[in-house]
Amino acid sequence: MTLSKEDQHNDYELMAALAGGDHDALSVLYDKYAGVMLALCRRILRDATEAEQLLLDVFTEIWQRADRYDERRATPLTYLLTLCRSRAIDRCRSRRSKHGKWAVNDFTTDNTMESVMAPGQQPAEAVSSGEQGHLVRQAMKTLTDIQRKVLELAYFDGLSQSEIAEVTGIPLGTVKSHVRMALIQLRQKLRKED
Amino acid sequence: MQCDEVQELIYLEAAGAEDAAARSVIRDHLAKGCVICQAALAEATAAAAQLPLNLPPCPPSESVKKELMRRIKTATPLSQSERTSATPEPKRMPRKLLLWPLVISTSLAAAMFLVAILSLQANENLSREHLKDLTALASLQKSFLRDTARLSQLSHQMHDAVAMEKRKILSLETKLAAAESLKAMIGSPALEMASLHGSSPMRTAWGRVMWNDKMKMWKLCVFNMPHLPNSKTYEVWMITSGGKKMPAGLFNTDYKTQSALVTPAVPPNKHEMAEIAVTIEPAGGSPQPTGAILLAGHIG
Repeated sequence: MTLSKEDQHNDYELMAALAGGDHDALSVLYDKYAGVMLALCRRILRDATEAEQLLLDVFTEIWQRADRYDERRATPLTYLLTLCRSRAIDRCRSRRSKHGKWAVNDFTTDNTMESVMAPGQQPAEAVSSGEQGHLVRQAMKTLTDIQRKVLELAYFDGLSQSEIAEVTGIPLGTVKSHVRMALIQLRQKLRKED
Repeated sequence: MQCDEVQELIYLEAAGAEDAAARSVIRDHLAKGCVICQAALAEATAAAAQLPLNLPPCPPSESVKKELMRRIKTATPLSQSERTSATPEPKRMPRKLLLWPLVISTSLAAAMFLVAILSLQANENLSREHLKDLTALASLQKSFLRDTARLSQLSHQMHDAVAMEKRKILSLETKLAAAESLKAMIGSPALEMASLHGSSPMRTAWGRVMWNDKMKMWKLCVFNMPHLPNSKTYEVWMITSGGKKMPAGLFNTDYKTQSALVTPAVPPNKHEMAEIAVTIEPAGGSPQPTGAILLAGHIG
């Protein structure tokens, strides 16, 4: 998966075709982004079967509500990933509410890479796929361990600032500043590479 | 709430770590139409949305795509189904009513209808072009508004910065004028000088008083005198040979250097003055000293 300007332009065309009811457009969009969207679902839900089910639901929703997409507000990829994350977090929270409050040690294990890989997939292969992914990985390396951890707890585990403070033992104000600095740095690094 | 405060929260929202209170503050602020914060939120959200690209992609199993394509064959996009239901198909004429005598008039009507349709089509093309232009114009207008808001903010910041620099320049000019005047006073052969010595409880305090009768200038430098709280002040006294004490000005020392350069208000009968002294008085000063003399020197 690469995200050249031409690709992004094509994505806008695909979204427009999708709104017009074009099945092929959905198929192309799926082939391009299902891999990264499934990785996101698996990272959040930590369950391969449930993640595939959610991916299916998300793409169905994208198809049915293609009119919701507003190109002035986000690029197609941002829209797809934001929607996917939102649905996965909703499902995760609903699961948590059924099984009671989360425990601090739910988030203390490292579950960034290996836990989301497809069976048989090698880290080296996984890392090599995607030019944009490479840029993001480089940008992530510039963050401090705690900035990265805080950002992952917020984005992938759906914890609020106060929950992050509880899990990590960091003061609330420091959590806020870590999130802010991490995103600013990420944005600056990715903009430089743009 | 100010944009700066909202933008602190915007990063939390973009990362998904905001709580209900923060979300409500952001929503209220954006509802007021703040384009700067809208743009900041969009940028922060786009940055956060890149995080999944840090994960190794997982190709889904074949069955997922098959199921998806099966689903969409039966599920029409809602936008389309809404459009379809909004424009129901026209009812067809019953076949038995299509009689020969009506054929000619129908053809004529059809021809007229076709001309009307073509004309409408042309109009529609024009309208479509017009709509496109309007959309582009709206987009330009939005971008213009955003730029104007940014420029306005920058202009305010610049205005504040210029005002601050002007204040700094004025302060430096005043200091420079004072320094030049002091230099002229010290450099003059008419300069006279006396030392002041501290007494209990400020034994380490000391000072120098300089005066130049030709230039009608007096300066008092004091050292090792602690900075006083707001409720107190140092007061300078000119004391005549007969022991009459005359107030000659108030001052406080710098809290870091514990020193001060003071211009005493010298009374007209200065030749009668024998001594200069400093006491601590309540804020605002006293007509006569109420505290002990802490620093004193002979000038007669």
